[in-house]
Amino acid sequence: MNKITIVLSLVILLSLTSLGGANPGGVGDGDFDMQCGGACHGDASQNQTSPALLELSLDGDAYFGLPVSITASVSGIQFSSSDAIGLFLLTDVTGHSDLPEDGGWEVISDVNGGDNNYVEIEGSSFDEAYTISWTLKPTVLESTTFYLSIHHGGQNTPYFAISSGLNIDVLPVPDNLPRLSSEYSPIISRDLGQQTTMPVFTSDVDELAIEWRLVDRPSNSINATLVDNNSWEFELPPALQPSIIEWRAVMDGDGPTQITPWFRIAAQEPILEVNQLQVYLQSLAFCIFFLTLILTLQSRYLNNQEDLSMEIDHSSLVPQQENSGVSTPPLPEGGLPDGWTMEQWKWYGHEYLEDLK
Amino acid sequence: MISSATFHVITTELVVGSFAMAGICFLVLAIQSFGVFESEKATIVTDYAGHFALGFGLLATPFAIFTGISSSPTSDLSSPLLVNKMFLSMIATGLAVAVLFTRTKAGNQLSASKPSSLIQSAAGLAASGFMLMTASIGGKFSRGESVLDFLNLPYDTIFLMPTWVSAIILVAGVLSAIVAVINLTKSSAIEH
Repeated sequence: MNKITIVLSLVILLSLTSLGGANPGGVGDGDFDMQCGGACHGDASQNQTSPALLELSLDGDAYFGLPVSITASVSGIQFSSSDAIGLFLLTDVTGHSDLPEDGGWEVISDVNGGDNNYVEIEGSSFDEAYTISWTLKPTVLESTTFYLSIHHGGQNTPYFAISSGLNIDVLPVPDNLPRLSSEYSPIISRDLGQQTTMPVFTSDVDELAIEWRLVDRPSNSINATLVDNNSWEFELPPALQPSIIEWRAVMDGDGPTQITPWFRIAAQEPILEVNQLQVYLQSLAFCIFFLTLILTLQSRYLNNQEDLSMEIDHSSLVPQQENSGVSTPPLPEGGLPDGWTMEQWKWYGHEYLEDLK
Repeated sequence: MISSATFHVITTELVVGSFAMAGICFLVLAIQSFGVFESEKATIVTDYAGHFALGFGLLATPFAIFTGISSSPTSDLSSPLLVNKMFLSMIATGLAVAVLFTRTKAGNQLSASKPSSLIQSAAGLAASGFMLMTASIGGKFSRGESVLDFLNLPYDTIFLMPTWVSAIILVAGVLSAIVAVINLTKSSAIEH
């Protein structure tokens, strides 16, 4: 009966686990292939097809070496209890070598203030639509097809879907086009409370205006200051709590006015600056301390036990010694007297010695 | 090629699974040490299973630590959470090594002494607890939440000693460990 109860309990406990939802809370943003190495949903073969409607669109034209935005629209998702939605921007559907970098594109910023092809966003409603964007830069002059993939949970089941492809032709940069320098990479993170001077490097730009805003807030306009030839800078106010500021540049020159995609800069807790050697040494010290503590305690108690057992052994010998009688008296000068045995001498030898006295 | 992050997931699953198994076994041993129930069969099974699981988890621990460091955002200890992970995992490692060494040297003498068997069970349980706390911080770091959130543990605070203090503890600890090992070896060498 007990065995049956134990087996049933184990079966019930195992049944309560969700084999498919390995990470229902998500795995965090990162650079992941389509199936994220199996880390997101545990086993890709258990995925159900998501009913989500996915669409990718390109904002403007893609010029070689210049940033451009790709916008993803998502709707009709069935949420898991944690409402986490994982979105991938991919350049292939084979499940490997499908990052934008593999297709010759560099991710400059994502919706969460990072520079990853996989981002997680929080959902709040069954039928709400979501629009997010990535800012990327083509590093090769060729066409690339992008796909949007989604991972999410719902009804204790992992869901997966992938959009149809968005083909993007990368164009050569026209002469005199006001633009950012092809080597320019904006700062995408900063510490809390830090006033930020943002440098901007351009080509064929005479005037540079900056628009910045907090996410989903009205934008502010400021003029960038020319520092040197094609080198500008502007100031962003410090953030008092983790947040993301979006900014874009409006560039005037001989060519038509150009507006860059929205770049994002995330304010976060300062990175811990600590002496790595100090940490490793302390870790080792902790390890040795606790190891020694246990060994010392054990050696003490085990030795005490040993002493105790020896004491017990001695005490058990005491009655034996009593039973064995008096100690054997010393033999006289001539040795054992004639007719005596050693056993007799042991017991009565002391009387013989007394008589001699 | 497997990335450090994926390899870290694999190794941590091995470590956490093994230490959790060991923790259950040491819990049973501890309960038996207090005389709540007695079963020779349960003692034998949990003793062997607990120490084996602890040993297996210990083998996977260095891989988990190294892959964890290399897969962190800056490939070093750049967050208080990561520093605390390092401390806790090394404490668990020290306890686990001590438990396994004592079991190897003292053998069945451990079960003959109530204090020794209690220390052994408590150390094994503590090793499992510290390793599970390490895993919990990992969840906090990567997903912003962990199963131990309800305890409100101060993961954001680090207790960092000066280097010279760590060095003194390290040297004193090594010397004490050598003495303790010699004593344990002596006591285990005495024939009964």
